[in-house]
Parts: sequence; C-alpha cells; structure tokens
Amino acid sequence: MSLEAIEFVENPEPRCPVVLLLDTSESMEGKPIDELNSGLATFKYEVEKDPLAALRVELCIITFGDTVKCKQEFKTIDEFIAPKLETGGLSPLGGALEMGLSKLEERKHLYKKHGIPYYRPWLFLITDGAPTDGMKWYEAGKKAQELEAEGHLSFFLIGIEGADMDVLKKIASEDRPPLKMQDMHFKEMFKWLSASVRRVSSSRIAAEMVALPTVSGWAEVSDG
Amino acid sequence: MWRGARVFTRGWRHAQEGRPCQDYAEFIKLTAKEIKEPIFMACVADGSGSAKLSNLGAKMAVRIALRQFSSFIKFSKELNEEVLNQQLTKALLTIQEKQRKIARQYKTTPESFSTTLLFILLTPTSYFAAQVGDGAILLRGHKKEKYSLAFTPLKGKHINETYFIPLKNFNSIQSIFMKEPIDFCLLATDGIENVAFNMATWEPSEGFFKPLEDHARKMISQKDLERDLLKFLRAQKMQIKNQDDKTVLMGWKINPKNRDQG
Repeated sequence: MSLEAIEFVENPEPRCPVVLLLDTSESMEGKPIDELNSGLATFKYEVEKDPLAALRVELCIITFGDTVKCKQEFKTIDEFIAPKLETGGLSPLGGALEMGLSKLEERKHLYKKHGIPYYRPWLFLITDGAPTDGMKWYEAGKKAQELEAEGHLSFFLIGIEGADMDVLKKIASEDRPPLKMQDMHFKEMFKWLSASVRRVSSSRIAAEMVALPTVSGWAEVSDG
Repeated sequence: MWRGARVFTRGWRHAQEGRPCQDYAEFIKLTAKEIKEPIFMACVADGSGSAKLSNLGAKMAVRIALRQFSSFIKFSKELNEEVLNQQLTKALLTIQEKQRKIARQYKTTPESFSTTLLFILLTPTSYFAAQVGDGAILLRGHKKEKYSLAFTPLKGKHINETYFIPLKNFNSIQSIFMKEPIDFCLLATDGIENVAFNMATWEPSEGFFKPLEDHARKMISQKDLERDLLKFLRAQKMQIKNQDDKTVLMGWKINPKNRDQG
C-alpha cells in the first residue's frame, strides 16, 4: 500500500472536494486580503461545527498573484489550518483555473484508486479583477462549463469590487452566472459556503438534479 | 413460517431542522389461497431530502406497493419472474399516478413526493426483490453463512445522487427473481450504509448484520426487538457516523416447531 493511501485508511469517509481559487493580486492589499484571510478561518470554524462534514469536506487552495501557486493541497477540514495569504502581482486567473481543474482530476483519480466515494466537486473562484495571463481563461473556462453541464462540477465565480463582471460572465456557466459580492462580505460568503458544503456532504439529491444553494445577504447575481 | 420487525427513526439532521422522518417501512405475512405457502413481503422507502413532502411520498409508496402485491398474491396460482415484474410495474405506475393526484391537491409538483423504494417477497423456495434508487436489500440464503446484497445501490455520478419515483425512465428499476430459499433478509435505507458496508465494494459487514440477526432470533416479542433496534439506531455512535434518517426492516424464517425462535 502506498503512503498516499494512509489518509483514506485513517479516514474512509466519502469526500466532498472544494477547490478555492483566490485572487491575491496587489489590488487585494489591505482590507480585501484581511477579510479573505479571516473568511478562511470562519470557513474552518463553521464546517467543524459538524464533525462528520469536517471529515468529508476537503479543501485545496490555489492563489493567483505573483504566480499561480497551490498554497495548500487537499486536506480535510479537521486537519486544515487557515493560511495567511499575502498580496502581490497581477491576476493570472486562467492559469489558476487550469491548475484547479487539474488538481480536481488528480484528486478524483486518487479517490477512485482507493475506492473512496465522493460528492460533486466544488470549484470556487474569487477575484477583484480580470485575467492578466492572456486567453488561458477561455479554454479553461470552457472546460469548467462542460464539466458543470455534465454534472461533474459545481463552478462558482465571485467578483468583488473592481472585478470585470463581463469577462467573469464569459467564464461562468450559463446556468450559474457570476455573483457580485456586496461590499466586503467575505465572512458571510464563507459562512454560506460552509453551510452549503455541509448540506451537500450529508444530503441526497436526484441524479438528474443540480443542487443550487441559495445566496443571500452577501452577493447579488451579476446582470453582466 | 416468517417473522419480522421494522423500525424507522429520524436522524439528527432532520431533528435539528424540525423536519419529520422521511423513511417508512412495513411488512406483511400472508398465505396465498392457491399457492398455500407462507409468504413474507416487505417494503421500505426513503423520501428525498430535498423534496418537501417526501415523508408522505415514502409512506404512500410503501402502502401502494404492498397492497398491489398482496391483492395479486391472494388469488394467484403461480409466482414467476414475469408476473411479479408485471405487478412491480403496476405498483410503480400507481405510485406515480397517486403522486400526480396528491400533488394537485397540495398545489405542488409530483417531485415533492420523491422517494426511493425497496421491495422483497419471500416464499419458502424463492424470492423476488426490486429496488429504485439507493438503500440495501440484504439476503442470507438457506443454511448459508454469508450475507449478500440483492443489488448494488443505484447511485448517480456522485455518492449523494440517486434515483427516485417519479421515475425519469424505467432504467432506474432493478429487479430479480430467484428460485432460492432465503433464511434472512434485511432492508435498510442509506442512513446506515457507511456503517454497515464497505462503501468501495458494497461488501456487507458481517460484524454489523450477524449480531442483528442473532438478536432477532433470540427475542420472543416483536415489540421488544423493535425497542432494542430503535435504541441501537438512535445511539450516539450511530448518529455521529451518519445523521440521516435510519430504517431497518428484518424478515427471517423460523422452524414452525419452535415458534419461540424469534
């Protein structure tokens, strides 16, 4: 048995993988990055209120600023320690999206290899700008849209103040347009995210249905 | 001769949300006039968590299925795969018709009553099992030691996705008729799946099911057994492992000379 299997022996619960793609470009300096860091801690606190969800929800954090970096590989919430993110550089959003999709594929492969059932993965992108790494976002966005249409992914895009909502709308699935965060409601957004993944990780839905949690109090649907 | 017991209980999550238990289960023992064999029939349903009236849907589905099969069996001369599948189709169509009818009364959609369905019919020499969606129909053949599942639970692409009645298509129905005597059966909703099965292979855990059967065979009264089963399903260690509603329905053959043998 390989070492990678140990985590699944210790914790054989089904997994709900969540990838956060977080914009850490220079424009996030100050209040936005502070709120984002505190939101991550809120997420851990909220998910841990449900001990079973803490064993099922696992988080991978990819940041994009100076570079596209996997800040944290997949970890279940019981083992997750919120990192302190720092800002710098531009917004290579396309590269981050590519990395996020590839991390999810690798993870699903590992689940299958070790016989771990899993819930529909979540890809959650937060940005205050627009892609600065060419047209990478186009292909990656198309791939994410296809995965969502086939029921393999729940893909969320959140624009905070300054985000180019027109571009985000092109990246997002038609059925799930980008959400525009109201003010700096990171905490409320992470509370919503934790409540949603908690519910998903313990619920059952019809195979043909897509679970759509309702958004309230922190965002509005973009009108493009 | 058959004996049976059934319990269903609300999970922690529904208790927290103030929602009712969405599982339902019933069994019937009868002797057909023509066949003259003791028959055990059982049905379990698990209402969809996202459907607001699925507790009613689950109860309705169980009652319709049992009524359909029992009225057929009372006067049937032979039980075979073809006639039993015909009855299954009739039962499912009746459930869907009832879902549509009651949806009009409640001014909602038939999907508000969405439910899975597990059904078993045991004769002394054969069995018929049917399943829509997830949950488990566990069997132990005559004088066999191993427990096995009648079907792999039908899941969607992901672990929490399954199929419900009303059916989108008839491919999501599984059924089987076998000329094989069964000593013990257990029907359960998905609320115990991660405790009682290896979820990668769906291999039943003997450590979970054998004590349940042994206990069932020890007990004299159905009431006492159901009380113990409820206590077991409501125990904290079970609830921590799975916060869903939980149902266990058991049926087992006993030697008619020894009626006290649970």
